[in-house]
Amino acid sequence: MPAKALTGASAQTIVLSILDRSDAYGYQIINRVRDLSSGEVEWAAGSLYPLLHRMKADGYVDSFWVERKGERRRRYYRITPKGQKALDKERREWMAVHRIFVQLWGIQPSLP
Amino acid sequence: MTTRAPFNLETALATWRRFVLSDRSISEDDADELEGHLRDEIEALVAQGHAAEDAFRKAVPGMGDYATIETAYRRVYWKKLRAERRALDEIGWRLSILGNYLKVALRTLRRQQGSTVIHVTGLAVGLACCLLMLLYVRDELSYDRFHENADRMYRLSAQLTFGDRTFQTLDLPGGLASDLVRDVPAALEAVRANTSPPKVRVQTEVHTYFEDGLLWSESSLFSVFSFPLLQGDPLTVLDRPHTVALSASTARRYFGGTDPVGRFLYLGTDATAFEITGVFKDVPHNSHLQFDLVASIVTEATAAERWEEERYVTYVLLEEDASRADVVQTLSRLGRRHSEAEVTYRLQPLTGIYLSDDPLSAEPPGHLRGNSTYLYLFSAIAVVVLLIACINYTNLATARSLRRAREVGIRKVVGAHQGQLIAQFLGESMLVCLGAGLLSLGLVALSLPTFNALTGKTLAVSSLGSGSLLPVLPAITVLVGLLAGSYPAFVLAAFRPMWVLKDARQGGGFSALRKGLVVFQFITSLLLIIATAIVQQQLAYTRGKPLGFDKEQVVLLKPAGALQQDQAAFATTIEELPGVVQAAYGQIPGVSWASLAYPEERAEDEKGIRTYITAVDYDFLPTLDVRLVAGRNLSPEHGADAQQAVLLNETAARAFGWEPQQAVDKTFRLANTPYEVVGVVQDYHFQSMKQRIEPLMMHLEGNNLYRTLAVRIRPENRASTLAALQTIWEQFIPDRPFTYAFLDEEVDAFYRAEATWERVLRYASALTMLIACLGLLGLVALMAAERTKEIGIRKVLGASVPGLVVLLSKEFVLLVGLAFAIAAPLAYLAMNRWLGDFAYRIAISWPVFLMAGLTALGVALLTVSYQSIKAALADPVETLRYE
Repeated sequence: MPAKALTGASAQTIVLSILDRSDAYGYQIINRVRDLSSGEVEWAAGSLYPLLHRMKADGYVDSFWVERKGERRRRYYRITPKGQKALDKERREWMAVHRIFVQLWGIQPSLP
Repeated sequence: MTTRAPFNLETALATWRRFVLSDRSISEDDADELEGHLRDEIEALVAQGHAAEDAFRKAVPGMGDYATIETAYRRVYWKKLRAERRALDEIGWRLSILGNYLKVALRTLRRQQGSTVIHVTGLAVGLACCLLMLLYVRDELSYDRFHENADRMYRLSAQLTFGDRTFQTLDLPGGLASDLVRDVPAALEAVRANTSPPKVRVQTEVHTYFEDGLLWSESSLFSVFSFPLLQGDPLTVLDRPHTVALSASTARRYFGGTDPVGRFLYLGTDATAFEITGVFKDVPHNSHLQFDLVASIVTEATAAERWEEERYVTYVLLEEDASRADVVQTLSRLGRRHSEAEVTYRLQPLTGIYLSDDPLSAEPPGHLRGNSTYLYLFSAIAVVVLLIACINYTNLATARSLRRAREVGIRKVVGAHQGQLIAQFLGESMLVCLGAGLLSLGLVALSLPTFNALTGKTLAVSSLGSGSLLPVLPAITVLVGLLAGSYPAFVLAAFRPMWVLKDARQGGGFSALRKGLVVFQFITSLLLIIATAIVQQQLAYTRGKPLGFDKEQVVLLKPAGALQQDQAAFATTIEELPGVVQAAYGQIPGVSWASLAYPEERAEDEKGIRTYITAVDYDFLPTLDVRLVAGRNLSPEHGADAQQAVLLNETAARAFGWEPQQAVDKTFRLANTPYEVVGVVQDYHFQSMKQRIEPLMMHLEGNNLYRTLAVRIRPENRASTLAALQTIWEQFIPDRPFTYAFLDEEVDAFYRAEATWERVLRYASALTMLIACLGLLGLVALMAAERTKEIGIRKVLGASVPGLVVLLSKEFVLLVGLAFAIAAPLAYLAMNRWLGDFAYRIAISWPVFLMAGLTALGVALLTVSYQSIKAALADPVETLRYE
């Protein structure tokens, strides 16, 4: 059962992480999340776009329109330096939490 | 049935986009982005093999529902604006919309002048009533609250039990106050304060005055109560005998600007010198105790400390958290030490004195007493009138809303939100209320003199602006605006643009509520009309009922003991005047006191008969035309009459167990003195009609202490007779102002409260009727508008104008009928209770109800007919043209 809601705490971090790898537009972000979770997490557009707008208003991301030949106009999002900083902080916190769970649940890290 | 057009993806996407864009917080770019997303999704689905329509229907829910997107975007909207530095533009845009609303509102109000006038006046009248009542209620509730210790102060009263009768009295032993403070730890201080009878003579070196507001009291009056002393020491000001304190205005009146302290006043008929030791600030009007001068009570020093003298009104200041029950108990023990009688003391909270429903028969002179019934009545009227005004506004505005359906439709189509529309219409309602609020202030200013005359108050418009009332008018205005405006606002905003633009009339669904509101108004009006009629009837009855004496053409002079030895000469001189028929001393109306009497057969320890006692002279019966039913009148020919002869009324004779004829020559004892009955008079109403006729005994006053001379005059040349009476008065009693009263007016004064009631009710019923008719007018206008086409078709099909008028009016007759069915029993119950106050009363009869019902119906029909005739006369060509 794919979770449709953007779970508050993680959503912004996930978006920042995706944008940290490369700029993307909304549809791509949703697809990435679906792929990364093997189809288990399905975000609704109706919640993603307001989130992106809020992140933009907060200064974590920036947006720009790209028009390629034969394709429709798309609004890409890019992480800002402020967003980078926020992501670093988030990453440290998530890793700390991650370590806790790993030890608590006795999971062996498996190398790919 | 419409056939469905084939699915076109571009049309569907365009519609979807328009929906998304209808919110201002979503910009074109945002919509582009969302639309692009949707298209991507659809393309992916089509690639998987879905048909275009299918793909569209699958993809749209994934975008989240419209309302969620809208709220989500709106939440980040302002932040986004600020980030993009567009916030100022936005504010400017919003203001311009507001300007548009205001313009539209004013335009609508102007275009529909008639209904605007009705709206504003209706509301203004309601608000004005409310404000008046608020002023009244606030004033009534403010009594005695200005005292710093108000919540710890009490007035003492005693309940005395004689046999099976109990009396309440404020006249307490002089020694009680000091013993109380000494023996009851919780009692911090006590104040004795006795008011004097009216018209006490006060002389300065230059002038003579007659004062009503003389109080006998002690220094603690100024420390326990918050009556500030401007000059003099509050701790000692009245400690010495023969000292007096004046109010600031009295001091000014007597001495102009000069310092009064240390000067002398000469009080009473014997002109005893009193030294002025203090000046106090004028007593506020909202004090139950009113006085202009305070003389030291220790002047009567010996009496003041004795327990036998039971005539002191006593106030006590208790400790905080003191137990009243304990104090009362200790008091009763104190009382028992000094008196044989069964006495229960009571503590009456100071702030409760003015509005108390205490069974205490009367407040002493100088003690003001309010009327809590008025308080409730006035508050209720205020709320009801305001409520009705609100209801009318709601009705009229809803009716009007139909005419604005198109505006709402257009606004919605160009993107207005329901919330915005609600705000717009509520705003309009507020605007009307604001106008009404301002107008109501004017109305209050105009009606205050009448209102003051009606209620005996001295309220001022300016006090509306003072303290706690200041925010009230705006608050009420806003509240009423919200209350009255919200219903039409929500109804209007909920209009479906499709329907209204296609001219489908809406609003049938809430007509039951609207009718209910009109019924409620008529119930109120009917209640008030019936109440007014019954109060009027009862008053007419009490005024018209034979009193047992002739109250017409009788002038009452009240020398009140000032004549001493000249009493007989005074009466004789007056009787010699050509305009005078006869004169007699005697107390009428009202009777001063009652006591227990024992018929000769009964022993003292048996039950006595409580009998009112009044002193009359030989001419009393003929002068007042009181009939003798047995025996003889008191007569100077029987020398013994002066000592022991009495007349009884029939009720007294029966109470003693005698038939009137048998009573003659019987004897009874009263205060250990034997009296002999020489005659029995027909019962006459010596008290008000609220009381049954009680046993009464009439005797001669041996010590020339009659207080009232009743002079029967000839109806012609009243003015010259009165002038002659004045001349004689001034000759006999030069040191008192000539005062007189007419007996019929004095009798009427018994019902002054009821007469005020009647007047208040008359105004209130006229007012509610007026407002109810305004409401009805709105409802009819609404209905006529709703049924324009129906009427047109009926006319085309051959309906006659009278037939249509009946058709349109029928419903309202039913509404008034329903209101009547509810109001009549309510009115019956309420008025029956009110009539219970009167020992002699009318029976409530059906013509009153018939009259009220017909009045309401008549006025309603008159109101309705204007609109319904207009609607019935309308040319069907006009009304049906658009169809």
